[in-house]
Amino acid sequence: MAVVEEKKVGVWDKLAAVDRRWIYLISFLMIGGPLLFPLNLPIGVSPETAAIFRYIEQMPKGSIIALSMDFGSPLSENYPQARSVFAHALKIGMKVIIMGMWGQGATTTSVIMIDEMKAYAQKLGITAITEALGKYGERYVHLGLIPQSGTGVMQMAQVGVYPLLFPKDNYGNALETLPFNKAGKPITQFKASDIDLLVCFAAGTPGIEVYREYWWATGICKNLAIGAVGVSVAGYYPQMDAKIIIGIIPSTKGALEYDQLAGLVGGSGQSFATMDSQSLQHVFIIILLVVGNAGTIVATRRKRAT
Amino acid sequence: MSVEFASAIGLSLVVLCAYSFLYKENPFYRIMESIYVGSGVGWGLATSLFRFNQTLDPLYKNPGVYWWYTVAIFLGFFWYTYWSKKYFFLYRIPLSYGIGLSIGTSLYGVVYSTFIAQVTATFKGMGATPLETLNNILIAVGTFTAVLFFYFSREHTGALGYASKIGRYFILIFLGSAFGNTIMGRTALVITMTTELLKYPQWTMIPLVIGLFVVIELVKKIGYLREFSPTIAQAFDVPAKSEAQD
Repeated sequence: MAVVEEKKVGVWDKLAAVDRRWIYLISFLMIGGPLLFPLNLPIGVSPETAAIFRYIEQMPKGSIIALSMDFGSPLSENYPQARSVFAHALKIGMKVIIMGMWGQGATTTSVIMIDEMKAYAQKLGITAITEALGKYGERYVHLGLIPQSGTGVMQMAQVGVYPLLFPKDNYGNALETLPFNKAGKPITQFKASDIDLLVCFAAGTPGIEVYREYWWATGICKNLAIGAVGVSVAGYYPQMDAKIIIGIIPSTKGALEYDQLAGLVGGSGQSFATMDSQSLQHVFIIILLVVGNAGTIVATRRKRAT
Repeated sequence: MSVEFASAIGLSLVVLCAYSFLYKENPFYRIMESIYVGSGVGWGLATSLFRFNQTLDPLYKNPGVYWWYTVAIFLGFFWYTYWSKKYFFLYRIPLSYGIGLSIGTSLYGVVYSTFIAQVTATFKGMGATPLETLNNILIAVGTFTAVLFFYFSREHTGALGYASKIGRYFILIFLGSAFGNTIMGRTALVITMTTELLKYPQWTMIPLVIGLFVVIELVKKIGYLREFSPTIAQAFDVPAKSEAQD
């Protein structure tokens, strides 16, 4: 007669065998719950985001800020950052150039950003932004996609934006017809050196490293800042330490931080409720990490004992 | 039905179909996946052609001055000789031009900005405050020991062993920070989509889709789908009758 050894099933075994779909469900509830019933947890402002804000605030009116929309699918992170900086720049009288090395971010997303900014400014009655948005080609210009990324960026530094790089803007307007200028210098004569600050909203490569190598290293434009996706934020701190970049807007949290600094909460499209969801989700992940590691320790000890 | 209403419903269905993969592999997800890939490729192609046409604008306007564009276009076509055994050698012309241009233009910038500038910033010396000095020491020690961790030409014993172990802890702290930030990024994607789904009329699709999956599971359980259409049953992974009986 065969001896059937009954294996004792403990709590840890049950947890190890839990259907992952329960985790997805709890995760969804952690995210959806605060969106329906906000907790309004406080959000601090990181010094990296504040550094960009302070830099833009001290720039003279009419300075040129270029937004490089270098992202495709991670709309959730880079897009709010770009919206926030765009709103702030228009509010305080800066001139904005929108371009990018990634097709989606530089073209379609930028068009959506401009449209949504109009709706946001009208809804909240921020006349400075509404007026600026009404002056396309004067206060802001959407150049679109930089062809061949690195080569295009280099060409912008050495030859200029016109006529080879951007004979027309993203809407098909000939660049020479736009009144956009810097102290009387028309956009057709613009070079990278005319840009007072470049904020790169980068999801990956090509991204800030292209501007760093072609503009910063050669001294053509020393003022770079980045809106980074979460996965790459940690890698940019050494660059800020080396004074290559002025500051970092980290993921969606950075966008909301920037909104708070600029007094434009909602400008990025992010709300405090979304950060509540983030906080709860992180708490849930921490619990999973603790339980998972505890389970591994128990399993290892049990294995050693047998 | 307005365009906005229809697009909101469409968006909702697209997102829910994509998320249905979390439940299990299913035909709705596969349809969504194909639509996503197809629309992405189509959009990319359209954008590229638009941009290509726009770049050629100076040539259209002033062919006498910008005639040399045609040389570039001609050389560009050599990329396609990659697929010809006979003319493969022509493929090397644009390739060597591209590599040469990239290396030549970026060499200085890469070495200076990613190496020299950041190495210089690693060893800062004394700070303005004791805390800043401590921070500077931590950065220097962290960088030095983390690099030692990747020194493989000697066994990691003795002083080198201790140093590389400290370096490993610094690397782990970095990875922890990167992990936390990654969670934030991934969660942000879900939050954006959930925010959209919870709006009206998008949310109306949530019970509909969940109900659909419940019905499919029930139909699968009673084996009706298998008899109704073997093809559809196969798509939904309904086991064959013999397997089901086993």
